[in-house]
Amino acid sequence: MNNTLNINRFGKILKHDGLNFFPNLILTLAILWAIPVIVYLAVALMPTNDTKDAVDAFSRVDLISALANIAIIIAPARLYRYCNDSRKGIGYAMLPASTLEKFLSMLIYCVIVTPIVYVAGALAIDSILALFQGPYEGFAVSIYFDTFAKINAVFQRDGIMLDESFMLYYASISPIFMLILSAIGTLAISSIFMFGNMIFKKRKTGKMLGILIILFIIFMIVVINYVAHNEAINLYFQQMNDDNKAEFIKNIIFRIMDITFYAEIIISALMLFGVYRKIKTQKY
Amino acid sequence: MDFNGHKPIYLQIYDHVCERILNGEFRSGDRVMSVRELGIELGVNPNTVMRAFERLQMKEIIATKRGIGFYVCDDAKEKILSEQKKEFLETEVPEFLKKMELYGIKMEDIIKCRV
Amino acid sequence: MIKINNLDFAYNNTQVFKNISLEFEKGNIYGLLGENGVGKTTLLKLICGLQKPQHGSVTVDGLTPSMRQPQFLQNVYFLPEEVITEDTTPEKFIQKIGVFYPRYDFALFNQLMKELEVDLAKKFNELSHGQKKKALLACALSLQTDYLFLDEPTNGLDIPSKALFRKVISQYCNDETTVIISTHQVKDVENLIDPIIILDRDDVLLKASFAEITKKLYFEYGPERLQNAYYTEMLPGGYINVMPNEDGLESNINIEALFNAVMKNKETIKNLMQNE
Repeated sequence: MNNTLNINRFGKILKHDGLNFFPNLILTLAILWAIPVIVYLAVALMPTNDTKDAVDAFSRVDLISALANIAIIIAPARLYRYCNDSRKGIGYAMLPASTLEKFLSMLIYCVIVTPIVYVAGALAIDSILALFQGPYEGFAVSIYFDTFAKINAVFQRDGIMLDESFMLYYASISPIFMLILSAIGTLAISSIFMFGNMIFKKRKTGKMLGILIILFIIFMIVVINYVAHNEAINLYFQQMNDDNKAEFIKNIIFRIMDITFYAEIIISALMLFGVYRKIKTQKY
Repeated sequence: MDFNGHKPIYLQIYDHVCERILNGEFRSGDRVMSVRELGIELGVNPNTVMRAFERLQMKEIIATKRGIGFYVCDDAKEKILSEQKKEFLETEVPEFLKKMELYGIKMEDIIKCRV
Repeated sequence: MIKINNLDFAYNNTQVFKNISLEFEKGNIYGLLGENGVGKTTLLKLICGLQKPQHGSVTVDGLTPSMRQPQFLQNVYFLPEEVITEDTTPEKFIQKIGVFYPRYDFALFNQLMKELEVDLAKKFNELSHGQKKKALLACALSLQTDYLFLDEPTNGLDIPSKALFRKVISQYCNDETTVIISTHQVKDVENLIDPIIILDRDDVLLKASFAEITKKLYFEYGPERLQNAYYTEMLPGGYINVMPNEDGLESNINIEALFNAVMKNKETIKNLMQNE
């Protein structure tokens, strides 16, 4: 008998976890789906005198992405709340599937199914609302997966002119790679909260958020101190003027994107390894 | 069936089966219920029932046949009766006589009871 | 077969087991007895792989429980003392987990629910405590695993249910199954369990079948306290004396009296049982 991965058994655990998916997550999803509707109603019902109150598709894409991240943050604790509970977790631990199968199933529901279900629902709602003569102009769904258009919109909004090399750079990146980039971001967030769900017994999401905020503050202090006292960096910034500003910012953004990408991969790997170990060795 | 405190359970089950043979529920040559069935009926550990059945076999009240399981031996009833008679004479009668002596009851008083 | 070899286990600084060795063989319904806090539940958890021994080993049919391999898990079911239920009907619950177990039988589940007189239509949280326990028992039994571990299964059952409990457990047992029932309510399982294991702090005081116990100990029901008894207790209508069985007499075990006799004469009875 294969005790590591058996397709048939993996199908069973997927079905088992799938049966728990909607009962446990529907309330969270419903609230997050309601937010764009509330925004729509708030804007539509507000007394206005000009046409500036329209909410463009890009802003709504940002909103839906942010809410999808919230769904990802909340999902592990809703879907697998009791799996490390010394009393209520016994059933999960004794379920006859391998650690790898349980882990992969958890990963699929937290990282893939949750955002897909949320985003699909949110885009459907957005499309219905956009059909009305209301404040929602354009369809969020038409640009949601077009990362290039999104980034372009962000830069335009922030008043940064994109030079040709920048455009070319983005055009050279395949859309699939861009999708992978954003998927890695999703994976990183999700894996952090999956890990939080395994190590904390109560207030799992809140504790993990708290830790992240503290780590972020410490990280910022360290980075600011480092930048302020690093001569090479200071020298680099001194060379910046109005003419080469775009080039400078572009380089910095690329550098940060690179660092973020690798950091996300490392963080995801560490967190997921932690989750796997906890499923394997959690005591009840 | 209620178990009482004093006699080992397997002996009580032994008695119980004998009782059911005597009252004709299990007839000679009939299949007796299996260890499992009786265990379930009584809510008793199958091992305990097994011990009772071993004793019944030893006393040749029941026997096994391949593919059938336990069946009641031909002269099971007689054997049970003779055993019980023996036990009555060896244990209950002396006790009874002791009490008669203690209470000062005479044989005539006993005969008078048999109306 | 379950083999426990030189097991040491402690929770933080509290020693629970010190160098214990035990074996559980197929075809038996073991009764695991002991005062509160001696580690009955912990022993079951170690056998299930929910805890890991610090020293020594636990194996079930050669597999190590704490590795949590499907091959082990699909043949084991543990019913904890505390009633833990999901917000669903027992039927939906068993359909969800049953598929993992090779001998799971839904028809048997329905039959057991009927036998145990549990309302099929209700959700777990609409059932009374005793009904919940019976529903979970029906679930556990319908999985038909070779190993079944029940922690205080009769807690909260009414008297008729306790009789039904004995019946369904006896029904469950066959030559391949190993059932371990941990309990302190010995009356509820009096004629069901055999052999008996009595745990003490750190140690196993007794592990013996009824036949072995009655060979060594004689349970005398009589009008008086006997001087050489290990333990004497007043019963309605007399005394029960737990005596050394010197004349090879047969008697009926009173588990409560046995338990108390063992607790009062730990070393003596342990030695008595070990002598051939």
